[in-house]
Amino acid sequence: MIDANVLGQLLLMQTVLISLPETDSFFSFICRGLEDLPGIASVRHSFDKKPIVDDSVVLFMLSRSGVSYGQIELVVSDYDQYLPYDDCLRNFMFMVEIILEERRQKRLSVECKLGLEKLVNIRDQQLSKESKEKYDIQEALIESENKYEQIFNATSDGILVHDIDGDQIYDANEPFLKMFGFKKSEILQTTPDFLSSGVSPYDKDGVKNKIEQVIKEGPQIFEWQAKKSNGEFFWIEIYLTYTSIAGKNVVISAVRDISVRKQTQEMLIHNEKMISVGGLAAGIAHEINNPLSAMMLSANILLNRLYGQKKQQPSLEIARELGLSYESLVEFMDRCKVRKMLNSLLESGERISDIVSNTLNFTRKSSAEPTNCDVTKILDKSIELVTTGYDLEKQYDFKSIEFYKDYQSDLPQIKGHASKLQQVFINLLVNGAQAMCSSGKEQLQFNLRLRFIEDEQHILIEIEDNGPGMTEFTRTRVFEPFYTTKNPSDGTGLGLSVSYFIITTEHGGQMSVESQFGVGSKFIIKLPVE
Amino acid sequence: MEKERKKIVLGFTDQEFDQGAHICQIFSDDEERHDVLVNYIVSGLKGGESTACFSDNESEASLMEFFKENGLAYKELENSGDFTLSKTAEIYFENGEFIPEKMLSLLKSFYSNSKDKGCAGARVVGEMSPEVEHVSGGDRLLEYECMVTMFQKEFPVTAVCQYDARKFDGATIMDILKVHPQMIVKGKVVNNPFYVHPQDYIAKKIKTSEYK
Repeated sequence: MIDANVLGQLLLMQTVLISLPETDSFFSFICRGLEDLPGIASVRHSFDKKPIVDDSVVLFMLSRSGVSYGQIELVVSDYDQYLPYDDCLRNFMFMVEIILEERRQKRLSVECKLGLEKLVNIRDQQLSKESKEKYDIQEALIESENKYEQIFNATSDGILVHDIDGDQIYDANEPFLKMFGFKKSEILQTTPDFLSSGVSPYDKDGVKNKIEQVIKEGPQIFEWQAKKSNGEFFWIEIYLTYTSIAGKNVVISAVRDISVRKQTQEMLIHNEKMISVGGLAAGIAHEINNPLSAMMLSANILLNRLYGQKKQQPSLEIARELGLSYESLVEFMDRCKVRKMLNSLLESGERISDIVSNTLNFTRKSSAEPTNCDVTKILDKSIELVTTGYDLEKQYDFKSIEFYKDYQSDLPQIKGHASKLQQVFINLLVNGAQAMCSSGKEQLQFNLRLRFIEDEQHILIEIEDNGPGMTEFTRTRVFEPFYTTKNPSDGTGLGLSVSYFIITTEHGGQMSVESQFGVGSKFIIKLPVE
Repeated sequence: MEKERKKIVLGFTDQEFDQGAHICQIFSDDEERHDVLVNYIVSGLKGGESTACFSDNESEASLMEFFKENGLAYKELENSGDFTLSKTAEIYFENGEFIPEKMLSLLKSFYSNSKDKGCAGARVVGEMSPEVEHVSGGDRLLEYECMVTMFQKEFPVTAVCQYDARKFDGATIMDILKVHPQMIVKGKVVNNPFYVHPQDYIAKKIKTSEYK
């Protein structure tokens, strides 16, 4: 069982880490904090690359985007105590990597922007200065122009130069054109607001406000929702400056694509929430178990005493002692619907017991050893299982749904638990079918996609339906325990949460969902290939 | 059995606390530190509490305007002794030495005076300077924080301790966390999951011979 206080410690460490400068201090804080975790004897950070052969040492290599931040070595004194926290620590280390990478990116960004500003100033001075020799001016100008052009295009950030009214674009560098999918001749015909999503505040008024701000208050850094030439929205970070080039006032936007960072942040926040909510739910479930068992046991004994075949003797004796007729007593109970109520009590108890058992799965890892799994076979078997049944009560029928399979052949096997993965697939297929059948659409279909992503060494599984889709509110909460859009009688709100934990905690994978309201939903699973 | 204590607000959060809380703020931003400090001081003075501030980063000028905005007369409060502002070194390292017992005696007289004057309570905010690591007795800092927690059981002086994450080593910051029952996280006071009860903490230190 995971101690919620330890989860609290890990979350608090993440918060404090952000305040610590990136030096030895950052790692000494981590090491001192992790020393108190259950089952850990000592913790060390180093840049050694020596392989560790000691079984009692757990190693976390910290690296991101090809940059190494060393390794953290945990000397484990009690593996049983440590094991429940292994996944939490992996998430924690991932967060540490992200913090370090963010800092590195920020540092690079500042260096790049300072360099660019300096260059613009030099060029401006060169252009403004009156030279004695016309020839020299031209030469200097050509040289400066070449130098400017080279650096203008060599920077990894996109750069856009436009007027202070936001009506005319003067220039854009190669990375900017690539990021937005335009040719230079095309972009010069557009305006900055055309490159924005158009969703307030990322529209024409928003552009004007930002320009006013940079003129009044100086350089601005902010996030912006932008639009590519194909209409796709994406997130960028803009460093906006106001300057003058060759006597003309211009606004320069240094732009960076932060879509991946945004997704990572969303995933991290979600992971943190799932760990804390899952841990809490499991804690409550554990507390419910004992009184629930007592309640169900009592209900069972009552039923047996009143109606059981073999255990009537003690009841008969008590009735006889009290001068009551046992048959009349049972008749009385029946007429008062006691039997019905007791059965209802037991049914409800069983339902609670199912919920408790599912909830406890949040923090309980499967004790079985993972085996080689063929994801294609498991997915096909899941489809076979769900399509052979028709549930009248639930009002969905797989026979009315088309399955379009786009499977890559020769997928590598993964290490995992086939039955658990089947549980996830069945859950997604049944949820999708329920949603599609309730949408009133005529042509219902699942698009199933399997791919091996070699660079990232994982199997990608996509299960897409053309049901009613979800609102953004629902999409961000869909994996939270007990969150459901169904009637209380149709679902507990645990299916997707349990699936999420099976994929992330038990298989070290990732699970996310994309959805467009009115169009459909796509669940994306990534399972690592060892 | 502890007496029921008066409820107070700290100014930087809407939460209510019993008098005698011991809270730690780890900051890396001067504005964040200043916000907590001034709101804490002003809410104390408005609530009729005797208030003391030990900081190297605050001056009469930096506080005066905030007092004025909140309808408080700085000079009047200073003259009456309801508010005192001192430099960290003047209080903590008098004669270049850090003596926890002396600090506790100072806190005790601060509390007694406030009681004699009929104040509604007593609160302090102290920003610890990294100089503590270089003065004689500085190695007793964590012991001192433990002593403050125990002292507050008898004398409910509310205390906020501020530590600059940019100036202390990470391991020290973690040790500091362990001796504060509560801490400020994103403007809210939370129960500190790292907190170790003073007696347990000192017992552990004795065991590992880090503490005499």
